[in-house]
Formats: sequence, C-alpha cells, structure tokens
Amino acid sequence: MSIPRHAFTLIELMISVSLSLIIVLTAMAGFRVTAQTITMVNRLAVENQLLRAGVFAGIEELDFWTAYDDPQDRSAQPLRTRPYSNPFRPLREGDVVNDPDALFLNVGQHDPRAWWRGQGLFTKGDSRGDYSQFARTGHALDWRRALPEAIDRFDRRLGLYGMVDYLPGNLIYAFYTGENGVNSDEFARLTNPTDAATDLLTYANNSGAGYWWEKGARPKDICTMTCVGAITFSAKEGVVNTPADVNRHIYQEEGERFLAPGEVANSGVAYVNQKFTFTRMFNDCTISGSVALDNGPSHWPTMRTTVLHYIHYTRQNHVAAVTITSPLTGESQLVRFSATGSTLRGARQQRGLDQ
Amino acid sequence: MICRRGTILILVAGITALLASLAIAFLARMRSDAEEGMLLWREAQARVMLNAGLMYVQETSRIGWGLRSSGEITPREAFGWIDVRDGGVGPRDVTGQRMLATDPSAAVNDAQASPDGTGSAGAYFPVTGGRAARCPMYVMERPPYATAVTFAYNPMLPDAACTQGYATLIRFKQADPQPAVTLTGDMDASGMARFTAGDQRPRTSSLDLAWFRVYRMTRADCQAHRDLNGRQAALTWSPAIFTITCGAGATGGYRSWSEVTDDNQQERFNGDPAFFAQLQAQETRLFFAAEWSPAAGGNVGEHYSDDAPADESTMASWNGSYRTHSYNFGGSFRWIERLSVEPSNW
Repeated sequence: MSIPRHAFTLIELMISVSLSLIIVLTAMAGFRVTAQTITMVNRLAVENQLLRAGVFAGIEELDFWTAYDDPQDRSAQPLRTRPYSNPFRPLREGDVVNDPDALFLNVGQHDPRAWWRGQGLFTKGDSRGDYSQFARTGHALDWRRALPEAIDRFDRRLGLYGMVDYLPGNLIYAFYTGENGVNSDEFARLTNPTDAATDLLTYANNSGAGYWWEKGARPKDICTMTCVGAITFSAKEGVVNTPADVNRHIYQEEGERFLAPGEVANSGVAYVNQKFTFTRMFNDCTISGSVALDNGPSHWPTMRTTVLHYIHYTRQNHVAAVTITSPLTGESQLVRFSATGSTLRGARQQRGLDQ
Repeated sequence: MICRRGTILILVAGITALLASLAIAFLARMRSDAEEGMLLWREAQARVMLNAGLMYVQETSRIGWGLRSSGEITPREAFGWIDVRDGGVGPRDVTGQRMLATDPSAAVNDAQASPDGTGSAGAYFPVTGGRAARCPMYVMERPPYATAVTFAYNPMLPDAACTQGYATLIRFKQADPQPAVTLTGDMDASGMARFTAGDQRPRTSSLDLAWFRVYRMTRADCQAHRDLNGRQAALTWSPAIFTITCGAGATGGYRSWSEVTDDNQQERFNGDPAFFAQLQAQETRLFFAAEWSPAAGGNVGEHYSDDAPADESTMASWNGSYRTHSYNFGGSFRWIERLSVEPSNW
C-alpha cells in the first residue's frame, strides 16, 4: 500500500525553486534591459520630437520672420525705428507719393528707368569718360535719375539687404551722385553710417579680393557691388551666439570668410570665396532662438533654433540650424538646412508694410 | 491524489504579460513617433514643391510653350510673363504675337482655350484667374538627357609625395559629366536616341507623393491679400504674380471632387468622393505667392559660380557634374511670400 503524497519531495522542491529562480532572474534581467531600452528610446524620442519641433520652428521662422519683427508685438519690432537702415520700416511712411512706380516697386525691365547706366569696367580716373552724364541722382530726366535714386532710397531706408531684396536681380548696385560725377563720399552711405571711417570703400580696398573701387579723386567709376556679401544675422556654426557675437558679425567692417563647420570664428583670417560680411541690416537684432520645453525637467535635452538670412553675389540664402544638447552627456546634435521661403519683401507684405 | 498548483505558470504568465505590455507601449510610442515624423516628411515634400513651382514659372516664362498644330507640338520660345521688349502681358512669341487666343490678362469669364489650343473647359493657366496649372510630380526612371551621378570620373591618385608628377596625378582623361546611358561612341545614334528620350516612365515608389499648382493672380486676388493679422493688405498687381500651392499627398493636386470629375479622373480615386476627401485630409498644403521678374540675376565675377556657403558647398562645387550657372535665364523673383491663410483662388 502506497502512502499518498501530500507534498513535493525535497528534490522536486529544489528543482522547482531552482527553475523558478532562473526564470525570475531571467525575467528580471529582461525586464531591466527592457526598462533601460524604453528609457533610452523615450529619450531618443524626446530628442527626435525636439528635432522635429526645431525644424518646424526653423521653417516657420524662415517663412514668417517673426524673430526679426513680430507683427503682434510692437516691442518686438526693433527694425522699424532705428535712425538708419530699417528693413521693416513701412515703406510709404514719409515717402514721396503713394505710387508704386515712384517707389520702384513694380518697374519692369522694359522700362528705361530700370536700365543701369554706368561705366562697365573698373577703372581709375576719367579716362573712359564721365558716366554720370548718363544717370545720376538729381538728373533732370526721370529715366536717368530713377534707378540711382531708388538705390539710394532703399539703401537709406531699408538698408543693404532691403536694397538688394527690392531692386531688380540683375542690378549693379552703384550710382553716381551730383552734377560732376561721384562725390568722394558717395558710397560711404552704403556702410556703417555712424562711422565714416569704416565705409565700404575702406573695406573694399582692404579686402584685396578683386572687388574694390576708388575713393578720392573724381570721377568714380563703377562700384561692382554685385558681390554684396553675406548679410548675416547669426554667427557661425561652432560659435556660441551672444548678442555681442552677432553684432560683431553683422557690424564688422572687414570681410570675413564664411567658416567651415567646426571652425572657430576668427576675424582677419584669410579670405576665401569672398564670403564677406559687411552688413548693418540686422544690427542690434537678437538671434532667433527658441528653447523648447522651458518647463521641462532639467535633465531633458534642450533645443535651439537659429535662422540666418544673407545675400551673397546678389543671391539670397536662408539657412536654419537646429541644435539639440543633452545636459547629461553634453552631446550636441546639429541639423542645418536651407530652404526657399519668404523673402524680406514677402515678409513685409505679410505685415502690410508696403501699403 | 496529487495536487499541483500553477504557481510557476502564473508567475511566467504574469511576467510575460508585463513584457508584452511594455512591448505594446513601445510599439505605440514608435508608431506615434512615426506619425509625427510623417508630418515632417510631408512638410519637406511640400517645400520641395515650392522650388519646383518656382522653376515652373521661370521655365514657362522664357523657354516657352509647346503649341499644338495639326497634331504636332511645336515648341515656341516665349519672352516672359511681362514681355521684356515692351512690357506687354506674356507669354508672347518672338514676333510679339500672343501665344494664347486672346489676352492672357483677360477675365476668367472669357471663354479661353488652353495654351496648347486643345482645352475647352473655360480658362486655363496661364490666363490670369484661369484654372491653375496642376502638376503632380514623380521621378522618371531616367529623364531625358540624364547624366550619370558618378562623383569623380578622374579621381586623384593617392600619391602624397607626387612621385608620379602632377600630370599623372591630376588628369582629365574621362569626360565629366557623362550620360546615364552607355554610348559606344560619337556615332552611336541609337545610344544618343536613348540619351535624348530618356525613360520617362514614373518610378512607382515616387507616385502620389507631392504636387504643386500655379495660379496666375488677378487684380481682385491681389486686392484680397491679407496680412498676418488678418487685415486686408492689397498687393500691387502685376501680370507676373502667381499663387503657388505646394502639396504632399495623394490627391494629385486636385482641389475638389468637381475638378476630378471635370477631368474624368474619378477612377483614379475609385470613384469615391469620400476616399478623395480622406486623401485631402491627410495631405499637407502650403500656400505661397511670388512675383516673377524678367531680371536675370547673377554676379559679374564668375560665369559659373561656386558661391554657395560652406554648408551648401556640396551643391555647388567646381566639379563639372555639379557646376551651377550663376545667371537665372528664366528670370528671377521680386519676392516670395508664404501666405498665412488659404487664398480663395489657387
């Protein structure tokens, strides 16, 4: 007669406990790995979300220019009321007439007023004649003064960037003033108006890069400003942008090459490709920066979007950069992209500034 | 009686359920990420269409139009949306004749044939106020005149000490660029025909991803323009102002089901307006306005320019395959504006 068993034997118990232990340990290890993976994935997901948000923010900024001029916040419109060079100043405010043609907004290339008349060669002196007889500010004939005066007007009121943006794409940005050719300070206006010593003439002569013109004796000939340089807003990659940095870049009078990724900005380095920075348009303007998740946990990554508008060789470039930085590891990721979007004039139309 | 309890089974089942729930949460998170990524992808697709739309305006301004006559399509050069010779409304041909039957700036109510002379359903682009040009985009298997994407046909040999001399190190034995089809020589007529014609079949993976539409604005459209605060802010009209709608989605650029039916394209959407509406709801649309100018921009320093900034330098190197021209022979744009609200007409 067998004795009924009401419990496991010791061996069974040991085996089952061992097996259970193995299973539980395996499960715990799996759970731990899974939890770590999910934590990592969540972190990556947050970074990806930030990256996406940054790219969207960059695109929005490229299209709507609100960092430069917020149409809904008068205190965030610094580029309307400076004593000079206000790219977001309402154009007709104080202008001569309420006439698009007079403002050179829609003058077509068939219109003689849009024809540039100047000395087509770089030269010193008047050996090739006085081309100011063909066109200059104040000329008695409308079609001979319209374009020089438009260049002058847009430069004075909107700044270099605005001048290039509004005037025809094939224009040579040079004009004669006065009755007898070029005044000695003709192009001094096309630079820092607060410091005549740092005008474009000085800059150009110093650059030694092939785009220069003379200052002094008259008549002056062509100023080939078609290489109007990088009219920048932001500093460059690898440089922490502070308002001082930005101002240095946008306000410096000497050329500086556009740095390659990772290079450190250093004024006075060798010129490469004439990536000059001589701009005053965005002086005093702060960087377009947006840090998402201001109220997020401190260990979450931070995001920063910067936007850069500049003109080089009369071509517009609109570049955005999104930087994600992890406060835990210090690791940074940078996505930089360029996009076609609203031009300055388009942004002004978004604000009804040409009414 | 042997009594077995399911302790281990319960334990394992519980842990498995826990792992399964974690996996499901993970998958749900990934799906959410993918959906958000899709939004960004559509945005990028739509923005690419802006470039395509702008190029369309430039190319049609001067490269011209193919006019159909007796079954043949004859390409005719145009002289811009605003004729650079006299300021007339384009497109007009070399003799100054309009390429359309009537004035392209005429009102939309004028019965107007399409530019190739075959249309009859009201006014078409490029009549101001006419129905927009609808351009669904795809990638051809091999476009006409396609060049190969080989990066370096003449790579420099790894010889830092230059023992072989510069003439060996730097050489241009291979033509650069080269056609995407193999040619057996200058007299390979068959190869040249293939090169010229390309293989214009669409790559199926590129179908129904993106499109753009170009609409030529009327004075009333410009009057109705609004600023970012929603106030009316009229634009100064010219016959060279266009609304460019950029889309990423599978509607092919049809704005409404009635447009689909007008073109007898119902079968493309299974004859189902609800399906079309669903596609519409899923796609991204961006609205831009732009004004074309006959001014051909460019610099005076370099005929071919490598003036892109450092971050774009790969797009404009001096390598022959990637060289870009510095002039815009199709004209330029006075301005481009992202519209904050959907315009009435596009």
